[in-house]
Amino acid sequence: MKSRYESAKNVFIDSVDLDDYIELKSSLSAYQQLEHSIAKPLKMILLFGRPGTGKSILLNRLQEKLKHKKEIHYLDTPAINEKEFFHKIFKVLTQKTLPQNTEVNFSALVNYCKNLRGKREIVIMLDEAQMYGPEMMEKIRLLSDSRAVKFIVSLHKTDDEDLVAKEHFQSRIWEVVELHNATLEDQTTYIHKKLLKKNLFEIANGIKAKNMKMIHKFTKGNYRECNKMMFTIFEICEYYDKNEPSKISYDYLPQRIIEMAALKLGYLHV
Amino acid sequence: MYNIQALEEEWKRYRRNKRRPIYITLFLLFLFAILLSIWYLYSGAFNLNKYRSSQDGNSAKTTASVSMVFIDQTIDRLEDKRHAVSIDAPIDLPDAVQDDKSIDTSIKKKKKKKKKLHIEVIEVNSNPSSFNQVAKRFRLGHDTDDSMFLAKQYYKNKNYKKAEYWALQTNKVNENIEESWLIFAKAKAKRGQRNEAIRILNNYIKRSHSIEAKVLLEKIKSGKTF
Repeated sequence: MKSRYESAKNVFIDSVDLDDYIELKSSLSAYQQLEHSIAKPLKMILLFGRPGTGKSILLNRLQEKLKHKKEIHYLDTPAINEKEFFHKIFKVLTQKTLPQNTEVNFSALVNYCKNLRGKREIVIMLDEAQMYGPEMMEKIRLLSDSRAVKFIVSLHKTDDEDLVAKEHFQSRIWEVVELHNATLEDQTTYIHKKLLKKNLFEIANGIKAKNMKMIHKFTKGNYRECNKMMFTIFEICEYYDKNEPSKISYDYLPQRIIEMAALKLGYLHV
Repeated sequence: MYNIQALEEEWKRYRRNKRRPIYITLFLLFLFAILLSIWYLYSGAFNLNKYRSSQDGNSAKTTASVSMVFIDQTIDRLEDKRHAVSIDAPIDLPDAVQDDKSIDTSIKKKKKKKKKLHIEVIEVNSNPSSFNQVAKRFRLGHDTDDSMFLAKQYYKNKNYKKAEYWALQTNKVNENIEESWLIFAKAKAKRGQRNEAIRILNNYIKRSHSIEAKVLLEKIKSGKTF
């Protein structure tokens, strides 16, 4: 028989799955801000935040919500090189696949975009944009200058990437949307809602406020870290449930298990 | 799946390390409490000893001072009487007060000096010449304290005749001093005048209903020692 902890563990597998999207106060606010920015005649929008703050899932959600209203495209993985990137852009703009052994002429692409002004309004969301080099970013800016293509650039907020953001976007970005780590309240809601979505009410109820505080302390409210932590916790629980059931109860989550998970993930050290 | 046993061991080590500061703090607190209690006990015992020694000192002082006061009162009287004798002119009160003060201070100085004073005074008291001085003073001042002092001292020295005399002198000045009547009767009885002693006591008992006098009467009647 499948342990309930196994199901709980799988809830926290880190993935960008819209079905697992949890609406929280902070994410709702960021979503509304982004939606509002798209409606404005902006060329570029910068979405940034620390890794694991929910940028990718927010972009996914935006695409999902607006795909029937707007021409919106999401490029989740950065292109290995410029050629591949322009292939993707070409496909988005012309809705045609480029013939093999051919290359995109950038000037022709910019002109094509300029011709689209007033006819189409295309939104391209670039995830993990910190991986694009400065030259590529400059070309993206030129495309956005056509005013037919709007870019939403998602960046990791690190000290270096902050510099990148300043150098390439400071003069052009009209709107900046920043995502933060979750508060304790948000993280509690996130964990509970995630479990309740899979009907794991008993397990969700077993995680008390004290446990939530500990988890929040270790993960600092980062969703990715939280997923990792919860996955590890439930994996340990699963082991006990299967091998030493006397050491575990659905009624409450022992502090010992949280600490063991923290040790495993390196949040704690002996 | 992780190696849970290894993880458990790691967690146990972590918990031990985590609790170590608490244990150390508790141990230090315990040690501090012990040291504090030892210090308190020792200082308490020290204070107690100090208190006891001071108490002993006080009690010694008290005993000494009681005897001193008793003797000093006698000295005071003697000094006063001597002083009174030496003055022929009418006494000017402030001067007298001053003199008293000077006497007091000189006596106080004596008080402070040594316990030896007690012995000296006793010697002085038992000296017949000093008795004469007191007798002389009595004749001038008719102070019953003087006559009673002489009566008691002579009775103590088994000079029953003189004791009888000074008891009688006291009774003449103040017939209500019981001690004087008792010494008078006892002195009479000691001198073999038993019937006279019984008669005196009967008269006194009729007047005063004194229990002490009744007891003495019974003793004299029955021939018991007193």
